[in-house]
Parts: sequence; C-alpha cells; structure tokens
Amino acid sequence: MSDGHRRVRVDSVTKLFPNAQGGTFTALQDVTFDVGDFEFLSIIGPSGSGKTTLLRILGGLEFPEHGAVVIDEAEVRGPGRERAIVFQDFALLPWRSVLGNVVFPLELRRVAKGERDRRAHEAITLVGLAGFEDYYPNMLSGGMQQRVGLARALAVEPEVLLMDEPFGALDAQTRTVLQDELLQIWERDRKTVVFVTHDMAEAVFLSDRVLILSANPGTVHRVVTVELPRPRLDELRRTAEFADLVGDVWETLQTLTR
Amino acid sequence: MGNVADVDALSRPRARQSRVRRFVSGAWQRYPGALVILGLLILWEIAGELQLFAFLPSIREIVDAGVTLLERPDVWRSWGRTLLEVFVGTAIAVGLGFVLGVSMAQSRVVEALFGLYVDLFQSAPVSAFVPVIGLVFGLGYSAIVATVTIFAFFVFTVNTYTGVKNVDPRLIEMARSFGAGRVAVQFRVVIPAARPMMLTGLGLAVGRGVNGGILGEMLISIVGIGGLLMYYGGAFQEDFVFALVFMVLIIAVVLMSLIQRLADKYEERMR
Ligand SMILES: Nc1ncnc2c1ncn2[C@@H]1O[C@H](COP(=O)(O)OP(=O)(O)O)[C@@H](O)[C@H]1O
Ligand SMILES: [Mg+2]
Repeated sequence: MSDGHRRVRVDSVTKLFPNAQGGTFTALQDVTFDVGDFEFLSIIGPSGSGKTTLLRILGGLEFPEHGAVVIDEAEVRGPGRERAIVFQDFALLPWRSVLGNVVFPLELRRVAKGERDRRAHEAITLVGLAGFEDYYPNMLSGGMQQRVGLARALAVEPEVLLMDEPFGALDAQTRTVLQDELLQIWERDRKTVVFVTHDMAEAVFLSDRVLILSANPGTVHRVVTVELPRPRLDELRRTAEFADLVGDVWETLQTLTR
Repeated sequence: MGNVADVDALSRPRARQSRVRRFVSGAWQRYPGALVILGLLILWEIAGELQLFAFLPSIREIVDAGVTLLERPDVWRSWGRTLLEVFVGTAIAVGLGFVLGVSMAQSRVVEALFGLYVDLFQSAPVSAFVPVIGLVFGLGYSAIVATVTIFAFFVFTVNTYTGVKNVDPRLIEMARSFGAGRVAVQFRVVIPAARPMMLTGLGLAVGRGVNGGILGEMLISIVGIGGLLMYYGGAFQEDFVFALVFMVLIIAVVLMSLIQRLADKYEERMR
C-alpha cells in the first residue's frame, strides 16, 4: 500500500551488545528496509533475531552502532512525538485508572486538560472501552489491558505506531478479536505501523508486507508482500490464499530455525 | 398515614440494635486477636484483684488512674509536647530518609557509601545512643526531636530504598518512550510506584518515633509522657505507669494503622 512515499527508512543498522565473555554480540547486522506512508509492516523472526531491539531502535530507546533510522527525513535521536509504542506486557501504570493511563502521555506533552480528556475519551471509545474509564488495570483482563495500551498510543495521534508483540501475551481467541479490531481502527484512521510478532497468521492477516528476520546475527532474510484485498475480515483467515501465504512464511521460518 | 408512622417508629430502634450486633459480630470475625486481648485483660484483672504479684495493679485501678490522668491539664500538655516532638522528629526522618533512600536506590556510589550502615542501623539497638544524643543536643526539645529522628530514620530510608529499587523498569521505559525526561520519570513513575512501600515505612517510622520520643524523654530530660513515666515509676505508682503505657500503645497503634490503611489503599491497585 506504500504510495511511493517513504515514512520510515532503516539504513544499514547494526546493533552490538556486550556478551558474557567480554566480547560483543551482533544482535542486528546491516539491516535495511523502508516503511511506506500508511503501510502496515510486520516483522517476524525466530526469538533472538533482534525484533525487539529493532523496534526499540525505531522508538529511539536504543541506538545502533552503525547506520541510522530516518523518519520524515530526520534521523531518530530519541523518542519523538510522531511515534508511539504499544508494549507486549502492556506497561500500564497500576496506580492510574484507564483514563489516567490514556492521558498519561498527553500530560507529559502538556496538552491542556480539556483537550487531553477529549482525546483520551475518543481513543478509549475507539478501542471499545467506553464505560471503563474509572477502572484500574488490575480489574481488567489481559485483552482489555492491551486495549488501554492501544488507546494510550492512539491518544497521542502518532504518525508511526510501533507495536512489539502487542497480542503475544493474550489467549488465541482474544488475540484474533484484537487483530480484527486493530485493522478496523487502522482502516478508519490509517497510520504507518511497524508490528513485531512471532505469529505467522497474525503477520499475514494484518500486513501489507512481512519482513522476515534471521537470527545470529539478525538480518533481513526475506520480505513477503501480502496482496490480500482490504478491508480484511475474519472470513479471510479461512481462505486458501491466506493459508498459502501463511504456509509460505512458515516454510521460510522453518529453514531459519533449523 | 398514622399507621405507617407507627410502623416506622417501631422498626427504627430494632434496625439500630441489629446494626450494633452486626458491628460486634463483624468485629470478632475481622479481629479475632481482640479475643486474645480480652482474655488477657480478664486474667490480668483477676490476678490484680487477688494481688498475686507485688507490683501488678488491677485493670480497675489502671482505668481509675487513666481517668485521673485525663482530667489533669498538665498531662494533656505532656501529651502535646511528646506528640509534637514525635511529629517533628518523624517529619525530619521522613525528609532525610526520602532523599537518602531515593539516592541510594538510583546511584551506585551513594549505595556503596551508605547502604551497609543503613542496613546495620535499621536493626541495631539505637537506644544505646540516646544518652549521647543528650550530650550533643542538650536537654531541650531538640534532643528529643533528634532521638525521634534517629529512631524513625532508618526504617523509612530502607523502605524508600526498597520501593524505588523495585520500580518496574518497563514502566520507566514506557514513560521515556512517550517523551518523559528525568524529572517526569521521577515524579510520575518512580515515586508513585514506590509510594505503598514508603507509606508502610512511614507507619513503622511513626511507631519507632513514638518509642524514641518516650525513651528520649526518660533518659535525657524527664519531660513529656516519658518524664511522667519516670516520675510515677520512681514513686512506685504502678497503676499510673500502666495507664500511661496503655495510652502510648493505643496512640501508636492508631497512628500506625491509619497510615497502613492509606498504604493498603494504594497497594490494592498495584497487584
Ligand atoms: N540489553 C541487552 N544486552 C545484551 N544483549 C541483549 C540486550 N538486548 C537484547 N540482547 C540480545 O540481542 C538478541 C536479540 O534480542 P531481542 O531483540 O530481544 O530478540 P527478539 O525480540 O527477536 O526475541 C538476543 O540474543 C538478546 O539476548
Ligand atoms: Mg522480543
């Protein structure tokens, strides 16, 4: 779906970590790819292939030893207003209510109170949590907690949404429901999304392209373009084209984990 | 209409009575420990009335002494003085302990410098230092306040340190990803996350502060409630001594449980 305009450019990114033997471990090596404007890109790969590291670099929480990430022509030097992250373990503040959690980033950005509440309520409604504003995270199921995590990210109205296995901690049923809802939200208000997952069906169902990373060191192994029509509904999961694409990704990952 | 009013008038006292009964039975269920205390008090009263132990007054005598004490304005003034010392001393302990606890949790250097001593002093018999405090601070308010501070300081520091140390780093990262700087991370993530531990520390600090205050008054300058305890002890008026001891216990327990309740309120959500 990229209309030629590149929103995100990852340019020869290499990330090293110190290892236990006092040497260095190459988590990512020479990783290069683009994400188009309003594109939904998934990153999939065996565990340890550097998916989280890559997303943290995109988020400005980690810095590469070589190469750079460029968003809207500006090199990423830290977290930025045009990006928001949805975390795998939700990362909700347990002492704040649903509303309190969603307004949190808006408070940090000094958005005025009225505007803050308006945007928060809008985002909360969008993720289907209207009426739960005063609940605390420990009163909510995992699925509902991640809806809060998603609402919090949407409330800052980011251009680029970064998601690190956001549904990885949820049961299969809840996961598909949230995938459907994420797509609905995305259809209505398209953003550039980078979505890390280790679930092949999830990657195929959501994405325009699936980037497959190999491990040790993490490199771009292959990019699969998903030509399935949108809007994508639950039925798509039971079609032959869908199964073929998932099978394709599955075979590639098989060769990588061997 | 008259009939309806009659029914109301009849049912109201009954409702009240059952409410009292519900409160009592609820209290037993919730605080079974109260039964133990009641049993001990009954045994005590029997032992006291039979004069089984030379210096053990009966509960009745202790209550009489307590009433006498409550009627004396100088006793109220002593309470005022003692509680003020405890309040000021604990406040200083909390202020200093907050700074030291937070710095120790976040700076390797500060942790290396003070960690061992804070740990040691938390369980050390600080009472041994009380006479020395008198030598340093003289015999006035400041000596007692300093005693309270030293008694209350270490628990609060250790609890603050532990609370800050255990803040989930993923929450800090989340805040940073949304643009929080150092200050915002401190005030909006670290301190709120550590708050239940700090409030628990405050409850313990108040308990130790009361302890320290009374001890200081007994050993340094014979003023306040500690002073009264010394006086009645010296005069062998055990009923008055016990009456004061009970008052101290009650006040300390009430203060501590109020603070603990506040801590629980926050902690409930943190699970
Ligand atoms: N802070 C770190 N220090 C040292 N090694 C790290 C650090 N973060 C990640 N790694 C290593 O980098 C590799 C990639 O990790 P990660 O990005 O979490 O992979 P994935 O998310 O794909 O499972 C792993 O081998 C991991 O052990
Ligand atoms: Mg990961």
